[in-house]
This record gives sequence, structure tokens and C-alpha cells, in this order.
Amino acid sequence: MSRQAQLTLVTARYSFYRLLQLVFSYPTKQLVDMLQDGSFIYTLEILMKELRISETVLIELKDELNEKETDAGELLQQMEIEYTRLFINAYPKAAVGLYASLHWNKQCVFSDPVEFWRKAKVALNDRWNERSDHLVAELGFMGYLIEKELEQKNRIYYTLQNEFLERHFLKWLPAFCAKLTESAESKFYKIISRITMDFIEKEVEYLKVS
Amino acid sequence: MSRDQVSRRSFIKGAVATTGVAALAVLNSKIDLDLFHDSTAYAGGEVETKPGYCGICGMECAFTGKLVDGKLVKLEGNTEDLQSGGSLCAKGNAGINMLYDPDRLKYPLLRTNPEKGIGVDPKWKRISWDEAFAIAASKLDEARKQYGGKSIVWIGKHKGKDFLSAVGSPNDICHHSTCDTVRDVACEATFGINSFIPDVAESDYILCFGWDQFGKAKNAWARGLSENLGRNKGKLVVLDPRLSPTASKAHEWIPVRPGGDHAVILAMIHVIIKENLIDADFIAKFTSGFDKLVPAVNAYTPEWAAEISDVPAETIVRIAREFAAAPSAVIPFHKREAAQVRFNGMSLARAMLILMAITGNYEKRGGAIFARSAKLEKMKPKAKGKLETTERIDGAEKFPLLLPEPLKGEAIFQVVPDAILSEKPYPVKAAIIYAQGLFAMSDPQKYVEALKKLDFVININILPDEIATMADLVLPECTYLEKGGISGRKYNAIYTQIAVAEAMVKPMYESMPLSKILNGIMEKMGLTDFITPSGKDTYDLQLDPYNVRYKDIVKMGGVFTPKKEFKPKDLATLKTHSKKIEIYSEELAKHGYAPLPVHKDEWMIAPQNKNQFYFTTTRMATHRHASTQNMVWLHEIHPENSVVINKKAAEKLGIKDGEIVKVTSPTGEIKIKARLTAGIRPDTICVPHGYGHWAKFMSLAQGLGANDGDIMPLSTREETFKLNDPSASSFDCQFIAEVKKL
Repeated sequence: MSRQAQLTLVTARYSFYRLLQLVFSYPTKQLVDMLQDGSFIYTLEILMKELRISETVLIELKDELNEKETDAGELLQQMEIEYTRLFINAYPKAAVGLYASLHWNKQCVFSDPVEFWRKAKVALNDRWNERSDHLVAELGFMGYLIEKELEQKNRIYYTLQNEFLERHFLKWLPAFCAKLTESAESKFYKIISRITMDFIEKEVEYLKVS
Repeated sequence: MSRDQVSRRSFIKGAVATTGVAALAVLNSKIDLDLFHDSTAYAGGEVETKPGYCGICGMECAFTGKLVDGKLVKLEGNTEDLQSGGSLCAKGNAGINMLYDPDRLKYPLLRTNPEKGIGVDPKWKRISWDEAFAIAASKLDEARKQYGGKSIVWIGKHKGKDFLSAVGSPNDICHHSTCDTVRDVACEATFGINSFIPDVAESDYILCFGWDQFGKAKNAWARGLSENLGRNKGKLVVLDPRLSPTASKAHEWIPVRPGGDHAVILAMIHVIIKENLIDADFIAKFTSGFDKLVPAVNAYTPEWAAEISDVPAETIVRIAREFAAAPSAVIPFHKREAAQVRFNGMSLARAMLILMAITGNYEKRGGAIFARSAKLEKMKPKAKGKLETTERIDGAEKFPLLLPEPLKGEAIFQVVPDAILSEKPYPVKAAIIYAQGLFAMSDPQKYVEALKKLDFVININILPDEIATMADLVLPECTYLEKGGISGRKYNAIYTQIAVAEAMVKPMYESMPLSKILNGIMEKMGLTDFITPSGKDTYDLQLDPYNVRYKDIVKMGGVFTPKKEFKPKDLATLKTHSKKIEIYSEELAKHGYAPLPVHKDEWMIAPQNKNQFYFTTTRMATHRHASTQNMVWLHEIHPENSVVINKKAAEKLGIKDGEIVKVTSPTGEIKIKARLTAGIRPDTICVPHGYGHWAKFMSLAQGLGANDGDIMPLSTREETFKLNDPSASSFDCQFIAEVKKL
């Protein structure tokens, strides 16, 4: 692979982690605007093409957003309620929850993400007020490792990505996505769940996880 | 330009060149997605310790918190502390579960579903604190302008006085009338202080009417009792219809008939007086009214008491003699035991206090001791509010011993649903509910109906429990592990000790301490001048009387003891009419209440057939009320409750162990597993409190067990006024329950 192609691929991976951070953070007007003006899907199309992830699911997302045709304020409130129900305090089922420890594969000993941060010599910013095993933090960690890899051109960061994916992410993300698909009432989060799994499967290939 | 900025710029340039503008959309997100920075903070599993004190129950046991890489991993009792004595109970240890509970409230939540009720999804959406304060202020102002400040009620711990006096509302409603107002009022009427410390650790004779400390685990007392028994020091005698954990460790368990405790103690007083086993010297120096007691107990013979209590007359005589002869003796009582739950509770409490008085068991080690709580300097707000009226929705102003002054006393919790629904004496429109679960109220269905009637309910809470699901606005309070503090503590204050706390971790998510939440609301309402200063800036001011600083106490490990010495107080300078311990209570007489203990036959109820039982309740040692069932370690030990029923009684009904049965009362019914045992009277059942959660936001607690409160009665205002008990207690076990197979 040429250097340029490599850079493109890694950048696409980085952007994908950022995008997932955005969708798994509390919905904002910015996200709703991106959904309604088409830039969200456009971004996804480009990134999924680059990463060779099947874009079929985007047709469903387009249809879902076209069907909605709701006022931006109303769409935002719908997403806020759904997000709160799924990830903050949920009803009537127990919350899906965005914490690794809730979905951890019980056959394995829980690997605290802090161990990986220690190895990478990084720390969460003080303004982060959620738990350390929150999905947005863990996605951010992968993004940061990619950034460091590009910045320092050091193979260690690639290795750390591999380790984090194999020893941590894969132990809980599939279960999380399955639960999200089952629990989500909105098609948006069901589709996001599938997109997340498709991306992670590509990550397994790229990072050569055994 | 920083190194990070340089690398970010070149990276973005690269991104544009490769993936195009699309990537910029997510790279330039308005949400902060850059969560990490280079650091060696987690270099080697850094261990840190911080002092704190527990906030699960009111005992406030001091502990040391251990953190590894900034994560709280252990809480260990402080060995210097009178409360914890180096150990924490199961609840205290499990405080970590509360901190890291994934179900806990994290952000302000606004209800979007106008429909309310049991099992109804509030359809919350998260909002910002700014929005939350604005909405709260607006709704409370609306109620105030249209219906007056009095239309706003505070329900929960007494932490809303600043707010209430600022808006002019007298309605400060705590739950204590279902808890310990009998003790409070009986103690005030007897010696002018609302409680005492039973020095069980050093006592030669401990006589319990209920008071199951091994069952309920109030740390210092359970530990003290345990140490006493371990040293073989004192004799423990327990009167309880059930073989409670404490009864099972006692030298003697006496299965008294529920409601019969009162007769037993009246007869004990009778015996001690008749056989001249009194401490005449103590009575002469430190009590008043003994001469009136003598004729009053004349009729209460052991034979009379035996009929009522099922305790043999010779046993009553023997334990009376033992009690009087012991070098030190104590009758501990606290809350929700024999003294709180039946109509004769107030008289029973007074009799217990009087028995200790006539045998000289006050202000000595092993007896009843008055707490030496620290007298911290009180902070004051800039302005003092004016109440619109002293008339409250619970009518507590009619009970002068319960509420001696507006906003200074207790409340009549059990009448609140009736007051709201009937709009008597006036309508209530808004409520702030703080640290008070729905299950604190008997007959919670009625409470739910009352809450539905209100225009706006704000709930300040840690967990998304039943009350939270009934609220319009839910505000997440941080746990005690996320804030600092100072406490003068009273529960086991044999001498004065001050505990300080550092926040173990900063408040998680967007939770806040209560003071900050209330300040936010009051600032928006323009009521800043009424806020009492609190928080870190006031710690050293509060400690002024002791000439010590907060930082110094932290360095000492979190506990400061000005003087490690117990010195008996002068019992001839008490805040009573006679300045002494009032056997005959002038205060009770002044307000038209019985000044001496008295038995009334009309108080006695009894089962009439094999399906009917006396009802009793208790707590699990590993749980506190209905607030800890979602804590994972505690949930693992005691996930659900059962109805405890005598084996032989159950056999007569064809009930097997573990079978689901129906328990009914005039109030309602529950379906619950039966647990059969020989260790309870055949005419009595027991349903431990705290279970039956229906709030499905609590993933561990929900759906397990049954709520005892569903079959316990509420009272109306009129019923409480008619009963005219000085403590206005709920007496919520004063009924007969029925048990049937399903």
C-alpha cells in the first residue's frame, strides 16, 4: 500500500472513531443538523467506502431520515428521549448502558481500560465526568492512539490499538451492540449499532486481531 | 503554539487532503471529543488515602478511603472513631457500590410524559443544569405567586429550611413520625433532650424491647453489643415476638406478645417500687414526680401483665430484680421498635425512661448517656425569611412537643397524602422531595395519588427510584463520597469527636451536592440572601470553637477528639420544668397529655382466627430502609424479603416454606414468599422493610420481594388529631394482618 493510501486509511479510521464518539454522546443540535442536511450520511458514505464497509445499511438510514421529515427541534427531543432511555436511565427494561463493565463477557476477567492508558502514558482530561469505561471514552482512546501513531510514526501505538481491541473492546462491544439493536425503539440507533459492528469487524482485520 | 496544536493542525490538513471535507464535519464537532492527553498519571498504580465519614445511615462512621489510580476501591473504619471503632458495617463497606452504580442519576432529567403513576414511563430527557434551575425557579415562583409560599412543601430530610423560610412556607415534612418521634418526644418530656446513647458496650444488663441491633446493624451499637457479649460482661435480655438476630445471641429471649411490652415494663416498675429496689439517692437528687408514680403503677402487677403479654409473672419479677440489682443497666430504644409502632408506644417509651431513672441509670457508663455532640459554629444567612402562616398541612403545630416552633421540630408524615388530596387546610401545588423514597410512606398507592395531584414535583435524588419516576424534574445529587464535610455526630458521642470528610472523587457525571442544587434554584428565584453559607469556605469557621483547622483534622486521619474523657453531666440542670429528670412530666401535663405511663385496654388488638396475625416489621442488617437494595454487594447477600411465619401456624394453613402467599390488611395486599421458622410466635408474622421496588430504572432491586408498606395504614389529619398522641406517630403496626394461600 502506498504511503498516501495508508494515510487515507488511517485517517478514515480516526474519523470513524470520532463519528462514533459523536453519535454515542448526548444528541445535540449539531448532530440533528448533520442528519437533516445530509452531511452525516455523506460523511459515513465516504468513510465506509474508504474502509470497505458495505454501505447497504445507509439506504435504510436515508429512508428513515426521509420518513421522519420532522422539525429539527422535534427530532432533537425525540433523540434526547431515546438516548436518555437507552443509555442514561432506561425503562421498562434495564438500561443498555454505555459502560464496558455492564456488557463484559463474564467468561473473562474484566480488563480495566485504565491499564491500557497507563501503558500508553495517557490520561483522561479532568473535564471528563463520566466513568472511565464509558464507550465514548474508549472510542476516544482508540482515536488518540491513531493520532499518536501518525504523529510519532511509532509502531507501539498500532500494537496498543491491537491489544485494546482484542483484550478489551471485543470482550464487550458485540454484546453491547446486540443489546442496543434489541432495545432501541428508533431505527437510527438500531442502524448505528450495525454500523458499529461492521466497523469493528474491519478493525479486527486491519489490526490483525487473532 | 503547543505541540498538541501543531500536531492537530498537520493532522487535519492531512485529513482534508485525503478524505475530503467530510471528515472535517466530525473533526470539528462542537462536542468535546478530545478526551485524552499525554500523562504519566497512571504510571504505577498510585495509591492514595483520604478521610471521610459514612452517609448511608445517620451514624456517620469515620473511615479511610483507599483509591488506586483515582478509583475508590476500599472503605476502612477509623480505629480512633467512637462510631466506627475501626470497622464499617456491610452497608458502609458497600458505599463504593453507590458511587459506581451504573443506574444512578447522572444528569438533570425532565419528564416529557405528562401521565404519572405506578409503572408509567416518565420518558425523561436529559437537560442542562441551567435549564433545570430555570424550570425549577419558574414553577416554584408560579406556585408562590398564585397560591402563596405555603403551597410549596418540602418532603424529606430537614435540609430545606433556608428555602422554606425564604418562600414563607412552614411545610417542612420529614418522615420521622414513622421512625423515631416517640423517642424524641418521650425523651424531651422526660429530660429535655430528644435522645440518649445506650452505652451497651459497658452495660451489665441490657434489656431490649425489640431493638434488634444485630438485625439492623447500627454500627457503633451493634459493635458495642457484640464486644460486650464477647467479653462476657453483661446480660442481654430480649423481649421480641420473633427470634431476631439479637435475640438469638441473647442470654434470654422472651417471646412477648406484640403490644404486651408495655404491660411488662409497667409491672417491672411496680415490682421495683414494691420491693424497694429503687435507687433512692438518685431519685431524690435527680428526679421529680416519683411520689406520683407510686400510686399510678399500683394496679400493674406481674400477674396482670402476664395476661396481656404472655410473659410469666415470675419472669417479670425476676428480670425486674435483675435490672435493679445490676451495677449498670440500660434499655436501648431508637426507632420503629415496640415503642414506635403501636398506640401504647409513647407510654412504653416513657416507662422505659422512668425505669432507668428509678434505678439510677443515667449519665454513667453502661447506662443511658446524653450525647456530647460537637457544638460547631453555626453559619447564618444574610436575611431571615418570614413565614406566611404557622398553620401546616400536616397540622404539626397542634402538637407542641413535636413542633415546639415553626421549622424547628418534626412533622406528621403519614397525613401528607390526605392533606394534599383533601386540600386541607389549604392547597399544596408544588413539592421538593429530597432523600425520601416512596416506601417511607405506608400505603404508597395513596401517596402516588397525592403526588399526581401536585402541579410540579422536583425530586433531588441519587437513585432513579419510585419517587423519581413520579417527579416532573429530577436533579441528581452526588453521593457522600463525592463531597467534603464536617460532622459533630451524636449517635455514640460518649465524648466529643469531630469527623471531617474529603471528597473521595469529584462528583461524577453532572451530579452536585445538595447545597449547590438549592443555591442554583434560589439564585434564579432571587433568594440569594436567604442562603446559609456552607461548603469548604466555612469549615474553619465552623471549627472555631475548637481552635482547630479542617486541614489539621485531615492530617490527623479525619477524626479530632478534643478530650478523650467521659465526665457525667449534672442531672440537676436539665431543660425541664424541674430542671431534673421528670418521672411525672410537667411538659406533658401542661399540654393535656398523660404525664405518667398508663395502660388502656382499647389499645390492645388481637388475631381472631388462624388466618390472622399480629404484624411486625424489621430491617435486614445489610440494608438501610428502601435505599440500598440496588447496591450490588448488598443485593447479593439479601436480594429479597419473605414473610416470616411460624412453622406450626403455617402448617395449619397448608403453607409450605418458599411458597408465595397473600398477606392482606384493611389497607391492601401483598404477594410474598413465606419463610417458615420456629423462631416467631405462632400468632405473629414479620415482613422486613425495603423491598418490592417497582421502579424498573433500578436494575438490581426492581421486582424482588414485596413492600410491607402496601399493607400498613396511613392516617388522615382528623384521625391523627383525634388520637392526640403527643408524638403524632404513625403507629403503623397497629393492625391485624391475614395470611392465605394463593
